[in-house]
Amino acid sequence: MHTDARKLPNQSVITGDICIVGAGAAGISIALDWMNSDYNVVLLEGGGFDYDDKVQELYNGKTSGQKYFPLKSARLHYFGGTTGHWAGMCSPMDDLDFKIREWVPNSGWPISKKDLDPYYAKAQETLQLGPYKYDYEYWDKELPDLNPFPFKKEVVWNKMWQFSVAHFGKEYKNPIVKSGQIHLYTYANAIDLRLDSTKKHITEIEVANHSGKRHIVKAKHFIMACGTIQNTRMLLASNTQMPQGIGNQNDLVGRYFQEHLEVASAELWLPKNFPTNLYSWTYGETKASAELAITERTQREHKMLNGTASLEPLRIAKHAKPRMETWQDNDPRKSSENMFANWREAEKLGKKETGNIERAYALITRIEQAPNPNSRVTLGTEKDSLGVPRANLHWELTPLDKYSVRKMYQILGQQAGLSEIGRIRLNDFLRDENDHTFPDSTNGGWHHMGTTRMSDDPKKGVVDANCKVHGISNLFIAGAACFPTSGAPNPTLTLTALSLRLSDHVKGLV
Amino acid sequence: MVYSALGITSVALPIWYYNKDSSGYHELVIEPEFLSHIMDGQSIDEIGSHYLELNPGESSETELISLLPEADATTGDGIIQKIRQEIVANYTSGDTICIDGWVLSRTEARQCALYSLNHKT
Repeated sequence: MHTDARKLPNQSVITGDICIVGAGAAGISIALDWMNSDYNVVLLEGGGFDYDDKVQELYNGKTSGQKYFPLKSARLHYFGGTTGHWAGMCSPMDDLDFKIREWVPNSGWPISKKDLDPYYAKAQETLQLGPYKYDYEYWDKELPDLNPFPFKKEVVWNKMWQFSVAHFGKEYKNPIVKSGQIHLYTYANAIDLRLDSTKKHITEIEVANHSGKRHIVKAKHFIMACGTIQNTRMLLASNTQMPQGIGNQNDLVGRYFQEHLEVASAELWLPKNFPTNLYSWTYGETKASAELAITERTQREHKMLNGTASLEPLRIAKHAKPRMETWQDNDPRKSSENMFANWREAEKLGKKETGNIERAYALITRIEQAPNPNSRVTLGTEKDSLGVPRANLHWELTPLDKYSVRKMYQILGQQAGLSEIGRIRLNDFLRDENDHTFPDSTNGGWHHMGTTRMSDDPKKGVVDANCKVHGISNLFIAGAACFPTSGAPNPTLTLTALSLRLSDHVKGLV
Repeated sequence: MVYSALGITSVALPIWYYNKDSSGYHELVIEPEFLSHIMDGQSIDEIGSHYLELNPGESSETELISLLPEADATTGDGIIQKIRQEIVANYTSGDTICIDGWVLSRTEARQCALYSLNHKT
């Protein structure tokens, strides 16, 4: 079922067994999981089925610290969320990502990868991927001429990726609208979460839209699934009954904001051609490809973060501007257009490059960010058009982040040398070992993580191992905000798996 | 047999170069053979200059030659093979140095330094 909340009588009361706030990858995955249940599921989406700039504007906010994308254009605010224009890159986190690493402050999840494995397998289906197989050996049998670089397996491994072309807005609109169990309300922006007198139970959520309508949603359980920054903003802004915000009794909500550092970091020059199909991919065609990753043993030895390096032809990459430069328009459509226009131009210029550079690659880092309490989302003083304080983001990186990126290429440089496949050249920003800063050209992946981190200890995390907000009996957070650490891969596969695990948990409660 | 992408072997080396060491050295000792396939002579020269700045104790050809693997092979193939083994050994043991961003083996960095000294003469 579908209702446009702008068309409801003002002050309508909507009821359900569970209420999912947000219809992006997390929210839709959970909703689909209840499709054949006997329960009434309310699915709230702030926008409609298409881009609406007035709705998108609700995401606007200020940024400080490390240069960042405009918050307004960093995520998409309509049914399907940011899957509306994502690249579809999927890979699970590694075993190590879930463990406590003594060299990574605040690392460790209260669950292991084994806990998530069944849900990863299920998430593969939701994301319309292939089998839950991410080992090189499997894909070597499936795909021709992968031919990996001959690096020492104890040091470097090939981390496999699969690629989704599923845009949730298109794929899942009809099943949800036609569902008898799911009632989707578009133009229903959550603006306030309300507690009972004990302040331990959410009773209702107020929603609003630009038609001046306000409604109340009542449910037994509430799942916030509107993206890391918006989930955080809602907890902090719902401060009428709890001045510090809901779930924020230990001043943790909004802290530990993490992104993936995606930055051109080095070059790999080969003396002769090395034919391989392993390290490149084409949207809509490639089933699986790999990035170069550092083994757990080597990470432990060097006390570094977990990351990978992808390869792009240097003759093209040298002409591409950093995304942090091309994606600076507040309108996500224009930013996207700028970015693709630059890529097309780079490809055109790259074709003119000849000589040794034709055998060279740019190495692009994709690495987790060390959890940092000072990297955080807070509320601004300005309010949006629905009266909710805007989010401010202070993105702050640490020396461990810089050290880890540099170390990764020192290790790859050593491996390239001893395997005699080529030589690696670090980019300028990595050459001074005493420089812990990142240049403005450092990209994020538009991946927002960590601000309602998971921990069994309420003093160390906002949600517990089941993604329930500590101290609140019926409020859950779905999505990457729950990640205590961010791993190297893009977050969608993991956040979908975690959301499906949460969904299973809530089924046991209703 | 082409040993070099740089054409170093065709460079007329000064007579003093051969007189530096009584045992004599093949001109390919100063040839960073692998690097010559991915960069030009100017880049090798610059790497060599920076290596000399970072390692003032190795600023003479005599010193550098003494630190390179003994290259008494009479054929170019033998010399290249020997130096190549030493370079791989450097990478394996972690005896690398970062110059102008390049992660280089100590041996090939010294070869660049020798090239640079020779190039300036």
